[in-house]
Amino acid sequence: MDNANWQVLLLMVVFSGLVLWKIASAKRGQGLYIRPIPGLNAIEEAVGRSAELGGPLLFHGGVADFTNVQTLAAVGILEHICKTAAKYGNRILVTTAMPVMVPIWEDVIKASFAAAGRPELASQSEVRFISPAGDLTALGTTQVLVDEKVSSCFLFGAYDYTSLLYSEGGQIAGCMQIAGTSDYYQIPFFVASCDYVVMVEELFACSAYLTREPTMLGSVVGQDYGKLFLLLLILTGVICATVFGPSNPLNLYEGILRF
Amino acid sequence: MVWRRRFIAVLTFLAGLYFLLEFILPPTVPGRTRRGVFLEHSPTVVALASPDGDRIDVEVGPSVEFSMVVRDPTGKLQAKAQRTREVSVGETLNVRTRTFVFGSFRGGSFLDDKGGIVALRPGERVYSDDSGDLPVEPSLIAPGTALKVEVRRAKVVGVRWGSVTLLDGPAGDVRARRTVPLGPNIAVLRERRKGTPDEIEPYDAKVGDLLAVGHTTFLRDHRDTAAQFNSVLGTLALGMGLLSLGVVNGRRLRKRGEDRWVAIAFFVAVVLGVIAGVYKYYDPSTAERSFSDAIVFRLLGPVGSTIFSLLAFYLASASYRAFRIRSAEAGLMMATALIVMLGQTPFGMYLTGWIGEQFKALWLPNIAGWVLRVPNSAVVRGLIFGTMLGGIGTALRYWLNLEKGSAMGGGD
Amino acid sequence: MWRRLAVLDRVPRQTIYLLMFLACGLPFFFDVRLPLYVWPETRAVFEVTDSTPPDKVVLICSNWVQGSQGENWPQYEAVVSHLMMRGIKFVVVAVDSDPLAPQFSERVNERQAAKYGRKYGVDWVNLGMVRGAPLIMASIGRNIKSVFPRDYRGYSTNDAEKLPILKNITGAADFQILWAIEYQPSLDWMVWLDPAGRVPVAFGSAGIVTTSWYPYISSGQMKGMMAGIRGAAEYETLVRNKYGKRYDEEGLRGGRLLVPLAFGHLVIISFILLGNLGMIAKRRAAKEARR
Repeated sequence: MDNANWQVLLLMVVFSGLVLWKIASAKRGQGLYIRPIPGLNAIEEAVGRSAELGGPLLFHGGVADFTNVQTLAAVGILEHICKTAAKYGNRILVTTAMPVMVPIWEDVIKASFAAAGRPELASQSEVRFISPAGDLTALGTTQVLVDEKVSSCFLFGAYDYTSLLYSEGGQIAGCMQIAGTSDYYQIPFFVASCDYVVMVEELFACSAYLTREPTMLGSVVGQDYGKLFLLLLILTGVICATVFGPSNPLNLYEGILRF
Repeated sequence: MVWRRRFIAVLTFLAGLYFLLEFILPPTVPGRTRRGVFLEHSPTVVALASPDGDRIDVEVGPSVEFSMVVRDPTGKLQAKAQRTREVSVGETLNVRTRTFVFGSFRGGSFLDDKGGIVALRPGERVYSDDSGDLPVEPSLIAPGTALKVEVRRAKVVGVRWGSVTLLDGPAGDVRARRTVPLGPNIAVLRERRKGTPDEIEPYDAKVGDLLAVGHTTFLRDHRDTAAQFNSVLGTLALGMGLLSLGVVNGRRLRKRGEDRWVAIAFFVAVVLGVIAGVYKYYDPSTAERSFSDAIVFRLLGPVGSTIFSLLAFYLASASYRAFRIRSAEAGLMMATALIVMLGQTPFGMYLTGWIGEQFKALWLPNIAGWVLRVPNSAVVRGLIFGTMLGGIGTALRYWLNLEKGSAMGGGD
Repeated sequence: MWRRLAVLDRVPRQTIYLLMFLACGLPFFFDVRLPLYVWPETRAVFEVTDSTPPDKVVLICSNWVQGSQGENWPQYEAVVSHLMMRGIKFVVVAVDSDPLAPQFSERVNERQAAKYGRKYGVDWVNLGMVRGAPLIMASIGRNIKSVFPRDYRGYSTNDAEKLPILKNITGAADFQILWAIEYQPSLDWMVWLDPAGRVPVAFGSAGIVTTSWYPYISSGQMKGMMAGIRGAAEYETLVRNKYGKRYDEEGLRGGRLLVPLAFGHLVIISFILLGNLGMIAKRRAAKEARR
């Protein structure tokens, strides 16, 4: 690959190694802790609210396709929402602006409801591709919220400028909203108009947090170890730059990390 | 369904493995790579000087340079010669197969300066830089003249990986078909002092460049195919989406409910959209192009802008509703937000521009700029680290089939 | 008094919408000029673009369509008008965008070309849209003609008669700078287009996402950016300050749209402050009522 060099390879090996090490530890039975994430704890409350009010749930998986890791994280969350909805006998509507995601969402709904023992809810649920244009999909989703009298709305995945169109539309329609994205500049919009927000890297911990599977918990903890490693790198770099000065040949650390 | 999950898991792993291997494997096969300082090149050979000072001649594969002639009956060369795999069937090419230095002409054959016979295959002619479209007249050429052997205006009748089939005579004449290998499996890499080497063409090399020349690893040759795979998938999906919308709206139309007008509007919009898409390639002075422009710029454009402008109103109402100072941190955030917002508008200069040049650090735009460049950058870097690590963890789980969901192939 | 001020805590959103509409709409009817401070990020990319030598081209990735045209159209037009005025050659592409993106960019190109007498294929070329980022970006950096065998008008990119601009252009080494203009340009350009890092990267993005680009500018991975409409207005100002009357600003939108933007910001700030005043007043009024 054009931009592959040994420094990047080493970093990849270290990060992947840390994640795999912690997964192995989790599989061996080591207990791992993840702090509470209010947004994810509120999913059950939102589904219950929807069941009481008699309306369906609405899920929107972001504006990106499956090549974006946020969408992959959203898949895990939809699965959990479906399994929770199965407990309450609630159906779910999914809107999307990506035609390539339609069969993927349909598959998730079908498999999740089947796994929860309520396959009939899958046929009552629906995946609607509204338009390839994100802004039109946002307006279409707001229309669905109003027409179908949706009481709880979940917005998880990658979002662009249309984030406020989704969330404010839901706010005006009176829905309880839980949103989660890794696009940090959309977080303020969600914070202003949603009840709960799952921020940035919490989105990637969703699957682990919701399923409590040791393998997934291990990967989340491994990521945190990766962050510690990065902090160590930064600290070492700051000390070396302070002691030796930048662009000093004696500053071997800078020489190693020059790509 | 177990076989389906396993199939998805294996495919996912192989796809990730391709990129991992391409990352790890060197660009050229280690035992078949020659390194040295560039001396010169010919269509078939790149000459390097080894560290010991010896000359190394590296065969760079079959010797072709292509130049494209498009709709030019005089056969005048139109473009810079380049070696390319993106040749289309039906195009007309001039193919330069080799060059040589003229020695003499004897017994109906050209001889190069070393006395070797320059054998010409059917369709090949010898040209010089001055002869234009006409083959050279041997009696008029002085020894030592650089000549080139070319096939002119050969039609491309087939393109395969690594070769092109040309027809330079009557279609039924077997001898008129030639397969010209393109040599995709030799890479010339120019090494840099820092970072990974650049892959270049031999004619881009300059004397003194440090080169590594060798056979490519298999994966490297298929990079562009991998890139195009995603492109094809995305295009296919668009068609699928249109079909899905057609089915849903067709159902609405058949039921003849209250929302049948929505379905009618959809089908009308599809037809208009297709017409606008076809007409957009017409000349700007035509009515068709005006129609297309009207649909896009006078209908779609204002609709899109209107929707985008909703954000301004939503932002105002959401800000008013949500941003209340209930704690010291919220107050600090509010003050920073005000500084950054005002600093990015002309009002920032109005409010603080009177302070004077010597105190320009106190101008609101400069304070706002400092906030954005220093604390904001630090925070964004932290967020990027978290996002990227989260992305690596998620991607790793999917790649190694560790994602324990019942959908998307997991759960086994 | 506190009870009266407590009304500010619950202003109906229709009132907010109306005032926002007036703040953004009225400036179009009055010729209001506001002083502009040019940020260093815009100045940096202007200088690199302005110093393009004759043997290089500017590569512009124009991915915007009707949704973000409010911010991206002025940015794109500011850059293109500068290039057309100076006679700097440029190549326009669209990667993973809406299929309408080339049409939007070509409209601007044609208008500016008519102003300065520039010719398609000689001074600029629009290669259309392609999918497959990020790998396709690497292919563009290696050999742009392999990614775009035909341009937006259907001409072969190897046809030096129709497209002489592309005659000696191959890849990254021939680009002076990359401009990526869309709502949120992709960071993949920095990584994939030229791994050697020789091609400076400049973004023209919506104002809200510019906060993400400052770390990349300070590390040198990005040369600079145009931040929303403000960035477009600054770019136009820089060109005008350097070239004066040669630069025809007729129809350019950056400076014009900056005024409604500024007043819109004022409305938002005012309502935030009023909302907080209303909240305090409500608390005080409740305290007084309890007493």
